Amino acid sequence: MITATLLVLLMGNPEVDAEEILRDKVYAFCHDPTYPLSPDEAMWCPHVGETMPRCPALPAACAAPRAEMVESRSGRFVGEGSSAGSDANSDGGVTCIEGSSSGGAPTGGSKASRRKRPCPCKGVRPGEGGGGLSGERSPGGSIGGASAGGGSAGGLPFGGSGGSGSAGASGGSTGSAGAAGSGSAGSGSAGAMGGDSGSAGGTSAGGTSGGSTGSGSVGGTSGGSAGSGSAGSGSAGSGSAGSGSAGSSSAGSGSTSSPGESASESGGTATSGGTAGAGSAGVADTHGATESAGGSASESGLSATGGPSGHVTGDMSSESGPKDDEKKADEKTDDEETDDEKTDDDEADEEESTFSGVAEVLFWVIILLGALILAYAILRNTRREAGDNGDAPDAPKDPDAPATTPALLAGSRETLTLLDRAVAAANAGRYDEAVLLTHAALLCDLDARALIRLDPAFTHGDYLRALRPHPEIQREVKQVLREIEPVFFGATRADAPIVESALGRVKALLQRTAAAASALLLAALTVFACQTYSDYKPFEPSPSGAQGIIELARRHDLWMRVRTDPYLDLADDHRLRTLVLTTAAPTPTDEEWAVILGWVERGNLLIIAGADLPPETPFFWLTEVDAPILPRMTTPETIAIGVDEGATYTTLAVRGDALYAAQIDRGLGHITVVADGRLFTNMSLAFEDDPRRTLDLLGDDGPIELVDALINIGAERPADALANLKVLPLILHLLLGVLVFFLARGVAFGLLRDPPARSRRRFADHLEALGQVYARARATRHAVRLYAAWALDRLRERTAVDRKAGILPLAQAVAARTGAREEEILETLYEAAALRSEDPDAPTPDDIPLMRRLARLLDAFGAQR
Amino acid sequence: MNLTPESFATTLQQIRQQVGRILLGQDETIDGVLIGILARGHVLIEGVPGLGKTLLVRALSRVLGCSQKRIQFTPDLMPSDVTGGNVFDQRQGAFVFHPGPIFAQLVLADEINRAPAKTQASLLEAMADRSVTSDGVTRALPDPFFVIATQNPVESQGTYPLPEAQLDRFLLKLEIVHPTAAVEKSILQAYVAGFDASDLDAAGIRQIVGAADVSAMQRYLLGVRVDEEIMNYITEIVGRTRNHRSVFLGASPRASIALLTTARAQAAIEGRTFVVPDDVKALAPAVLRHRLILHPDAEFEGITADQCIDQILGAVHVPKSAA
Repeated sequence: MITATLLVLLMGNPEVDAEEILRDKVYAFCHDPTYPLSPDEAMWCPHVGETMPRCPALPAACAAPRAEMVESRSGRFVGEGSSAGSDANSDGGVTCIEGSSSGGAPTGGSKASRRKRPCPCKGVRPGEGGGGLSGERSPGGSIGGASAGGGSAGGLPFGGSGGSGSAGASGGSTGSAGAAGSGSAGSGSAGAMGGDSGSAGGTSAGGTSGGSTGSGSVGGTSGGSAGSGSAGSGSAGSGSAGSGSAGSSSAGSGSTSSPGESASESGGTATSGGTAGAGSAGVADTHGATESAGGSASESGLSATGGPSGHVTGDMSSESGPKDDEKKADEKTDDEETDDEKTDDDEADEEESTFSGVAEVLFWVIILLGALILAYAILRNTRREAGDNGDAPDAPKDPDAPATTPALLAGSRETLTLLDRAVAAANAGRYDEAVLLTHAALLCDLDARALIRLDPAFTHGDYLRALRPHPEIQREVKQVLREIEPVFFGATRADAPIVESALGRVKALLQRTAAAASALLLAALTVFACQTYSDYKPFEPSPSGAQGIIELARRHDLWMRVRTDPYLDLADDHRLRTLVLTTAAPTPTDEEWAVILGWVERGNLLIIAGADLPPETPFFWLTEVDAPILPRMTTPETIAIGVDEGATYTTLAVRGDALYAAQIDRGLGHITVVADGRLFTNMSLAFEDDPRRTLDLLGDDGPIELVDALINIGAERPADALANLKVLPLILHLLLGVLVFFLARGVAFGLLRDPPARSRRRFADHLEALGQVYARARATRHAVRLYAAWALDRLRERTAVDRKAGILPLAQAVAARTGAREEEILETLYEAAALRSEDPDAPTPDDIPLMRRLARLLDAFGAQR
Repeated sequence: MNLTPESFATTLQQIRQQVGRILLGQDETIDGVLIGILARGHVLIEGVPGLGKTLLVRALSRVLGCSQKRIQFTPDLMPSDVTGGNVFDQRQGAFVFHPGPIFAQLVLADEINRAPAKTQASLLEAMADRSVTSDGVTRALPDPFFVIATQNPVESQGTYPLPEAQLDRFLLKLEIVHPTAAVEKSILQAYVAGFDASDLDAAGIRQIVGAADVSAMQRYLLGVRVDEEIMNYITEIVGRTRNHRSVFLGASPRASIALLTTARAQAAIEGRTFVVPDDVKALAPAVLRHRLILHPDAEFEGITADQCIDQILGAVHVPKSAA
């Protein structure tokens, strides 16, 4: 006692802390009587008294009307009418067991049902009724429909579903299968129907599909002697709410309601019903399976009896009727399909992972290039500035002195400095200089913004043409230049009004630049803001949020946050000590489970609070437990934990006979299973003792991370964030589209530059151009003369005939070498030699043929080269 | 005519608008011709037939209130066919001078390169001195006097390229190009609507100024200020044509004067009383391109005079460029 008191003093009182936390106005549900509680949140209301000191407005908020169907803040769809049925679950005076006493609470055995997750196979084991829960939020936000084959032997009230979506009807259809339910009456279980063969327990529920099509029919059974007629309530829309407004009928009532096939097509729905024995109203906790699950079979009856030891001794008798076989087959098919889907998903994930890797590399390459360009620009400007500072002469002191020449400003890019100098010059009365500096500041600013390219050979008109893509800036600049030009080139003397006007316009342009730069900076910061996403607090201070829990934990030196990193990152995480999976957490894949469990085995704590259970744990979920709410650990749902036979575990809390929180060891670590994740919401802070229990469950070792639907959404790196948002392909498509657009349109990204002029051409081009010049000038005779002279020289070189020997020896030599007729060669050579003495300007029709004959001769002689 | 910068610019704008109504899509050519008129120069237009050169002259004569004549140059055209000549009058028993078509205020010398050199030379005196000498008698040409000569750049057969001296007489050489598809469609639509190029009255072209006003506008240009730095800019540009590696013979001082006067006209058209570097830079190609003789090597390289001028303009520092 003393120790506990000391601990409280040292660490602070969680209850007091919770009260202080809720005092903050951000927790509006405690301060606003009109706060719109979601139906999911409204499930707490039965536990709210007339007054609530810690959360004074909550009773009034609970009294407010509810919306019919809204998305709860925990990401689940819920239906209305949540309160009915829970009245039956009033306090039962069950104590909360702390410590680690082995053995556990026996399951009440009554309404056992398997709570199903989006993956219908998870957690379902052979021999168990497949009534499932769904109502979970599928990744796409849809809600699974129900499936629960109800009415197996023993009249197990498989919960039907409700969920939404295609909550099914026809739950009672499987009722005939059950035959041998043992039914331990008195335990409040469905054993009431036991002993009746088969016909018992046909139930139905009018499921709804998203609240829209719920038939609200009463599923009844044509019960046998002890058939339980049940009343499926029409509110089966709630996946989690255990709704179902009616749902009870006494055993043997044999209600004659028609089976509730009325609702949807796929989801088999069962409702609770026939809870004889307990005599209590069968709460129509209508958990549904997903749409795809559709009418799963219930194969077996489960009758559990709570032994004194508290261990579960459930008799898993699996007696399946023909329909059960069919359903099993269906279920198997569904499983296979699911596996296929999962395989596809895995492949997609792998592709995405690869894709993300490439994108990440590209991203960083772009960033690196940008940084290099920036660094280069800074370095270049710095060097230029250094040059300017070293070379620039002082400004003229005399107001009447002529303005500085342009050379003084060459290279200067410090716009603001120039502007300051301009203002100073104007104040000193050196208006010419002020105008010149203002002009320089303007152009430097435009150059710095890459709107123009400063060039000493550019005129104002050139700059204005460069500004055509920016008409507003062009207009402003044009105004400034038109004011300045008369001073530069006209007879106008610069004076104060001119300088003032020009300065005003330039400053306005600079301010626009500053605004643009700010926007750019903000955009950059936005990109890097992704890095802070890991501190994101989902669902903030709403009743379903976790902000208060996180704050409470931090007050007790437990560093806690919402996890946004993928499960797989746990493989390399040696920092995190506690991981809490809430009901909104997405179901881990097998690979992720392996990583999570490996992480646990390294000495960490995994708390599964209403979330899907790993495949290797001895726990499973029981819904619709006929057990009272814990008096000092309040959560609204009647969910409990089932335990495999013979399993060893540590009981942390029980709810009546139902196990509420338990723990097993795994490696060096532990896995704590808590029946309801709502304990880790802000709303639980409002209830006495819940904060303390929450902290007890969390332990005293941090850091702690809370997993909900937003896992994998955040990322430390922008590329990962894009990948998580599934928009990276879209962005890349857009970029590709832009690239194609610009390639197609040929629009320049930057300033237009003239292509470099070709300085050299091929020799053949020269010859061709020369020939064209000759042709234009009709100078064929000139060309033939030149060619003939060259040809004769060439032939003489090759034949070694002396120049003085004349044409005849040359012709003979060529004829001897080529084998051609000597007369023809002689004629050609004579004509060629005669060209030297003829009038060069008198072209004849024989020019071209002679040139061709010479060319053939040279060719034959091999003298062309 | 009492001219102010605003009234000058307004008048010019009206003239451009009137001519532009019938000569669609040739705004630059219209501006160039107007600059030539205002600068008391002559314009050589190089372009293929059918682009509206004759229509331009007719429209200008109408708008400016000047007389106009057209001379179709052919290989057998004699100088006297241009200038006119003395013809013996039997009734008077004496030679009487019959003025040729050159005696008009606006003269269109169509396809000037089709006439032999001596006929082309007959224009030299008229263009330079604005007078014609025949049989020892010099007769002044009307004022204003303006020659628009055209030549076809494509054909070379049977043509006589203008000698350099003749080319230098032209203030500007304009290159007229085919209109765009949209402009051509507009031309067709105008003809569909009843436009007749031979009937300018029907087209609603009205006279804006008279010949005296044109002379007054020419005189007005003398008041346009040319800063010393602008003069430096002009001399630098023209000087560089003489040192360019691709240019065999650069522009003469007459080119500098031409650049100066045309820049003044450009400034006045824009309503300014001073010349800015833009005026010089914009008109430099038209003023210089026909005055440069390129090296044969450069011609072989395919380099044109315009490219040389662009290189020069890209190298000469503009006054007060701040760069």
